[in-house]
Amino acid sequence: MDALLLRRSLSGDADAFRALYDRTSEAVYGYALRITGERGAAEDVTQDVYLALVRRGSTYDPARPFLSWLLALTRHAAIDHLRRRRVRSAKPVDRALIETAKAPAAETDAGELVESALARLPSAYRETVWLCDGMGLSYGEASSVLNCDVNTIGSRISRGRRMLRDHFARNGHAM
Amino acid sequence: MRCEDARARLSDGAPNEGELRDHVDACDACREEYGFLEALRASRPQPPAALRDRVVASFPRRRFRWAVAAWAASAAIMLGAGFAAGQWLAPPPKVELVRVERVVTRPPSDEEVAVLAVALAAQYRGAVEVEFDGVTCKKIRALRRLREITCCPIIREMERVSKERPGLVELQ
Repeated sequence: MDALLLRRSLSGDADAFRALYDRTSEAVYGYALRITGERGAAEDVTQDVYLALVRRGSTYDPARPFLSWLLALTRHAAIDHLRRRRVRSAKPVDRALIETAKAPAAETDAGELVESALARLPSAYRETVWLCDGMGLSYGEASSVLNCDVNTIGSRISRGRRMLRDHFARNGHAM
Repeated sequence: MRCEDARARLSDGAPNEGELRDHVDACDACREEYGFLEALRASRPQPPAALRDRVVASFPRRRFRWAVAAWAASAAIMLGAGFAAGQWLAPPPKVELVRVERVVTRPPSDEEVAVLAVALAAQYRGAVEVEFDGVTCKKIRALRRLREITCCPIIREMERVSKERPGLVELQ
């Protein structure tokens, strides 16, 4: 379905492009936000991704899962964005750490608890946990997005979750 | 089921399978981890509505069609201009004069002879006799002095036929 919408978008069909955006923007924006750590940057990256989709969409291989390809595109765009701004991917996490430390009472909500916990993870673990546990990608799909081995994905998931458990145990929360 | 195996399968979603479900129900650590994963799945950030308008507005819908149309129009103009220039600059076609050295005539056919015989008999009644076999003229007998009428095209045709078909015309 997504591949069909992409093909129609490339032929100039604006309705197909809108439909494709509605189906995939949550995944793109969410992943961009996990990488950049800033909503404004995630919005810029999302726009870059859909512009690249129109410009370079003809390079898409239909044999590959569309979402994996799109998320790989998102990852490249986000890394480029961070590089352009000369901001290392760890910096947004540090800022999130400071913000969380200033307002510990705000962690009462489950969503905020998850956000702050994710922000504490190193970027490689945060991305992997988000792709597999947050978005439901298989280990194979996540390895395609992150361009690494499937076993690496498994070990990152395992260690990432352990870090989260340790964090909550240290802060008196139960997972 | 071991906790490691259960946690590896929790990424797939709700523990609906019997063995996994039983383990999660019985194990506090895995149940807590499942709760965290559920919260993680529910915490997907939503892109702002204004972003959709921004992205859709940047879609270069018309650019492709206009590019094709512009290309086609340019090609048509260039072709037309090239054709016109060719017409303008090309030298006029040469006209070759052909001198006719000799006219080759063919022998008159039976139909032409029959028409000639009928015309002679009608025009010069009494001075010409014609003999037919069916629709074919076998003999034309004419007075010799008819040859003096040089202005008559029928007589000239009779002279030609007499040369082409020897024996057909008999002058008396």
